[in-house]
Order: sequence, then structure tokens, then C-alpha cells
Amino acid sequence: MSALLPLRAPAPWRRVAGAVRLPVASLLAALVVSGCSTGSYLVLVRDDDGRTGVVDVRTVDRSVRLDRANTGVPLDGSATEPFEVGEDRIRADFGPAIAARAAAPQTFLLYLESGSTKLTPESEQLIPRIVEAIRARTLPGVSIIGHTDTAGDARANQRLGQERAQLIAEHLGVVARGGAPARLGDLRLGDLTVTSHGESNPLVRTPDNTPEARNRRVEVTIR
Amino acid sequence: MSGSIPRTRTDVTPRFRCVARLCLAAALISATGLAGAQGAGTAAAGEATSAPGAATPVSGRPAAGAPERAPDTVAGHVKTVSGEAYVVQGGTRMRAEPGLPIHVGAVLRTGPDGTLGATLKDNTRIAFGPGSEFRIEDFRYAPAEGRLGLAATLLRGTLDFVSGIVTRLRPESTVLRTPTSTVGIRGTHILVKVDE
Repeated sequence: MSALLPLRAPAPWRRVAGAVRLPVASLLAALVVSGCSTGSYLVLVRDDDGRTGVVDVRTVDRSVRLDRANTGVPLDGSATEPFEVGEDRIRADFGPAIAARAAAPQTFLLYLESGSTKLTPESEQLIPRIVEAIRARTLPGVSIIGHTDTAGDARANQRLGQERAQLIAEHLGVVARGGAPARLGDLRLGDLTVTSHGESNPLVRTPDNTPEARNRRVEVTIR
Repeated sequence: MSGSIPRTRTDVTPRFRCVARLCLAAALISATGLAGAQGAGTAAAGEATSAPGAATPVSGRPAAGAPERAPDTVAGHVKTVSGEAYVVQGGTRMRAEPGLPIHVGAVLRTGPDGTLGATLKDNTRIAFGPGSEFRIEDFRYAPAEGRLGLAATLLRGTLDFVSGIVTRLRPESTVLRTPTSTVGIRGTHILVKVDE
């Protein structure tokens, strides 16, 4: 057979090329059918706010950074530069995953008077809007996290944060008793967390023992 | 000379995988250790504060906010499901449905026509197309104790990933792996496809 393959002999060469063409064509057709997917890759896309983040993709012997929307990189380490990924390809490869994405969580901030569990009047008015937002979702998850400023002892603040979170849970009317699913009135919640981050997760960084109204807050997140 | 490149590759790949597995095992062991120590520490502190007679009703209250038996290991919850999708954790395979808790160590799987969407406690969102398998190796969201981190592996399929508060507070603590790569995510929204 090898005697038939010298480069200078045009006829057998053409015959070999023809034999190769068929499998290549059927392979390409298979790829098109399977949604033009050729191997593993990652794409950076815009987030809900229209911003674009940064990712570093490391394979065995190289690292590629992506910082522009709709640029991708293969995950087998075969490229040193990002490539453009069109919307059509994104839709073909990721349509079902994108459609399965959960709705963006919603966060409300409620503010309290210094050293107390009393809501400011503005925050008091926010309560019905939060209840409405919870009711707008099916099987909503609710987390209520109490925060304090750095005035006073850290352990006391941890307790105060918990009391604040608990107070907001009562204001909202969310309850979970005896292992039963959490509820808001007749609405079943997917999950409920009532917890405290004390003085350790401030919105505004301050030195210790600093009263700061913006840090005396309860975050209610609805997922 | 020409032979040295392939040799290096075959050398590095298994060693890299081995190291990765060892790291994963270590991470899992330390995570369970931490969780245990954490529980013990909280219990001790609770006793200490109630002992001097300064008992507050606080210690009885968190029950209202802790409906799950081990809330410390809950990383998030299933939010959307279509077709066949499963959560494998604690030695059992459960059919995914909205509201199902996902614990650290869980493996999420979707069937040939299944999809699944979940939200983690720090607002990270993960969603999968058909034929996907994803393992959550580590998730820590306790800023009060300085514990923040997310480590997971997409073994196959497609992933839509939107980062959350853990990534925002400590970007270097979010690591997503695939069988051939390690992705450091500083935010925010990525799509990943892993073909077998």
C-alpha cells in the first residue's frame, strides 16, 4: 500500500483525500446536529447589572484571563488567547442552563435605633413591601440577618443582632415551629434563616466602639 | 529533547490529579472537623452565657430560624427543576424539587432532558442543563467567624454560574474546577461546558 502513496503520484493522492473527506464530513455533520459543540469551554458573560467580571482559567501548563463579555477559552489548555463567543452559540450550548437559573435574590435593609430593637419610622413602613415581595415568589427562601455597629462588646452585639433579626421575623410574620415548614401566613416558605452577624459584617467600616447608624441594620434577603 | 515534553505532561497530569484529590480529601476532613468544633464551641458559649444567671430568651429563640437539623452544612436550596434531576447527599439520592436543601458535599445531577437551578445562602446562583454532574466540595458563609469559601467541580454538562457574596467579600476563595482546569472567579457571571 505504501508504494501507492508517493507525493508525486497525483491519482492515488486524490483517492486518499477522497477517502478522508467522507468521515470528516460526517463528523462535521454530527457536530452541527449536537449543537455545534466542540469540546469543553468557558465563556464570561455580562451579569444582570450589565457589568462584566474577571476569571482566570488555569490548565496544566497555562493560565488565560478573561475580562471581556462574550469571550471564551477552551478548557483543554489548547489556547493562549480568548476567542469570541456569539449569542447563537451561547443559546445553542447553554439555553437550558440559562432557562433554569433561579430569579435574582432581592435584599431589603431595615434600620434600628441605637442600642435597641426599635425600627426607624422609614424602616417600619418598608415591612408591608417586604411581605409583598415574599408573596410574589413561589416557595420563597427568606434569610433575616441582624447586624450591629461596633459600639459595645462583640458578644453582646452578637446577641443584639440575633434579637434584631428575631424582631424583624415577628414583624414580617414569618414563623417556623417544631420542625414544620416555615410559613408566612398561609404561604409555605422554601426555607427560613434568622441569624446574627453581630458587629463583624459592617456596611461601613469603622474603628471599634463607634456608633454608626448605617451599620445598625437587619438584612432581609428573599430568594 | 523532543521526548521531554510529552514525558513532562504525563508526569504532571496524574501527580496534579493526585494532589488535587489529596487536597479535596483534606478539605473535606477539615470541613467536617470545623463543623464539629463549631457546634461544640457554640454549645459551650451558650452554656457559659446562661450560667451566670444572665439568661436571655435568645438561646431558646434560634430554633425558630433553624428548621433543618444541621443548618451549618446547608449550602443552599433547589429553586427550579424540569425533567429528571437529583441531589445525592449523605448516601441517598433524592429527586430534586424546589425547596430541597443542598448540603456541602452534595452531588447535583440532571438527566438527559433535566435541568436544575439552585441558589446558595450567599446569593450565588448555579443552574444546569441536561446531562450535568456537579459536586459542591466546600461552602462557607460565616463572615462573623471569618469563614468564607466556595469550591466545586463541574464533572460534565453545562453550568450557568452567577457569583454571590462569598466571591465579593473574598474573591480568591471561589474556585471552580473541571476535569481539566481550575477556574478562579472574581465575578460575576460565567457559562461552562464540560464534554466527556
